[in-house]
Amino acid sequence: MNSISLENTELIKAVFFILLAFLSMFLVLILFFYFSRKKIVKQEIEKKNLEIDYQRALLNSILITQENERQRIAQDLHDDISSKLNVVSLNSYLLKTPNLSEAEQTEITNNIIDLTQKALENSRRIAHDLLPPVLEKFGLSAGIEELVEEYNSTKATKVNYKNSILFNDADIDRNLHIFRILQELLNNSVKHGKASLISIEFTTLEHQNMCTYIDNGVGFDYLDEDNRKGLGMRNIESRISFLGGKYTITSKPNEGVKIVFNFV
Amino acid sequence: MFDSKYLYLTSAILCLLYFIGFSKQGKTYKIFSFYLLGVLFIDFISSKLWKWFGIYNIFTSHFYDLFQFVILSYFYATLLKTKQQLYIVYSLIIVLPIFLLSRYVFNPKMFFEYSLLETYLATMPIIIYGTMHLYNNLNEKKEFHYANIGILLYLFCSTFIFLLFELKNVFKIKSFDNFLININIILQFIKFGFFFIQWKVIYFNKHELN
Ligand SMILES: Nc1ncnc2c1ncn2[C@@H]1O[C@H](COP(=O)(O)OP(=O)(O)OP(=O)(O)O)[C@@H](O)[C@H]1O
Ligand SMILES: [Mg+2]
Repeated sequence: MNSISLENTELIKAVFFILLAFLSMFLVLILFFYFSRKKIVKQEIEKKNLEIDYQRALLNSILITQENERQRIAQDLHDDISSKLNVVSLNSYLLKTPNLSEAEQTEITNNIIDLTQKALENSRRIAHDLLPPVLEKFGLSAGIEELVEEYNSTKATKVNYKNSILFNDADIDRNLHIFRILQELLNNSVKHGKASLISIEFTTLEHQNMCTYIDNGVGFDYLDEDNRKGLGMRNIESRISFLGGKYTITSKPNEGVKIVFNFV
Repeated sequence: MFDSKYLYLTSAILCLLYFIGFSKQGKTYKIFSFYLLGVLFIDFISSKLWKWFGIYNIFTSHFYDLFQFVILSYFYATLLKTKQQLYIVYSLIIVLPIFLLSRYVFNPKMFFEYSLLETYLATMPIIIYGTMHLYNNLNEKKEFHYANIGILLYLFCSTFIFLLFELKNVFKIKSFDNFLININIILQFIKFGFFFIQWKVIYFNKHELN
């Protein structure tokens, strides 16, 4: 009798612990999944917020660039054209003064001709800066060639340009994006990288157009916050996203810069 | 493969691997290495006791439970980050051993009996710590990710097996014995597999953050 009851208590004890163990393991699992789900959702939201912030920053940089560009144009117009036209108008008034000698008259007219020519030249330059005419007339490849020529003529840098793509020259907006990207990249390579050798190459890979840009300059750490304050790189980013492409930047200090981006 | 000899061999090789670069590693790594060594040692002792003196595992199982609890608690104490989690770990690491040991002081006979309560109390917290660590590092594979997975998987499954074993005993069913023991051996191999991956990650994929 006694041994049976002892056995019974043993049995009950064992069953109790077994149930307890099963239950607590079950509980651990449930709690884990419940809290993980919550955490994952939270992280997703944070990620989305980051994305939105990033988009906002891009948009902001576009607006700032636009403002800067306007300022620059205003400055160019003011310094290079308005000032010259001012002098022209002054000179024209002078012409009106009575009793001018022949020599004085020629001097004033020459001045006027000179100044108007300079103003004309400057306005042409400003217009070209805004929209390189080769792009429209001869297409992107010719535009890039001209850009490359400009850099090569300085002798400080050698730029190699290779292209195996036929650009669609009717699509001026897209071409302008690509042109501006290269302009800024070249600009940076010379200004920051002090690069002496640069290569630009367009290739197609599985129906994707790819541009590979390499310089041999001092390089930089793209993830460093200090290098993300400029507008140049951000504009490149937004232009590439306009082109529906993606980009990768590989660079380390003293190892040059390599940028690959694709576009449709 | 079901011979536990190979299990000792694997365990010993793993120990060796972990102790090769021992001095250059951090605290967590050292604790983990000692855990491996301790497990190997206790397993070895218990098998020899059985072979030479016919003393059954019960005796060493107390050591095993307590040792595993204390050292893995330290292990997780170095991994867990939030204050509450550390609070739980540090209070249990003091309270639980005192409680378990005091039972033997008051009733030394218990030392020669199997104690479900002890196994339960010594294993459950470790499972909880492991789960916490997994939760902390959701979406990222951080420190000792694979070792943690190995420990968790093994503890979880082996506890189930152990419970089944007990259930079987309760109802006095005699079959299945070998089956369950074999599954336990396989689980240990899987655990060692994870520990091996962990070792490989520490030494060869440094960028993956030990
Ligand atoms: N090719 C390069 N070589 C070395 N450093 C570079 C290169 N391109 C960019 N950088 C670094 O990255 C930073 C960011 O460039 P980014 O073009 O965005 O700004 P910026 O040229 O300084 O200013 P902005 O282009 O707005 O006039 C630069 O200040 C420079 O330190
Ligand atoms: Mg720039």
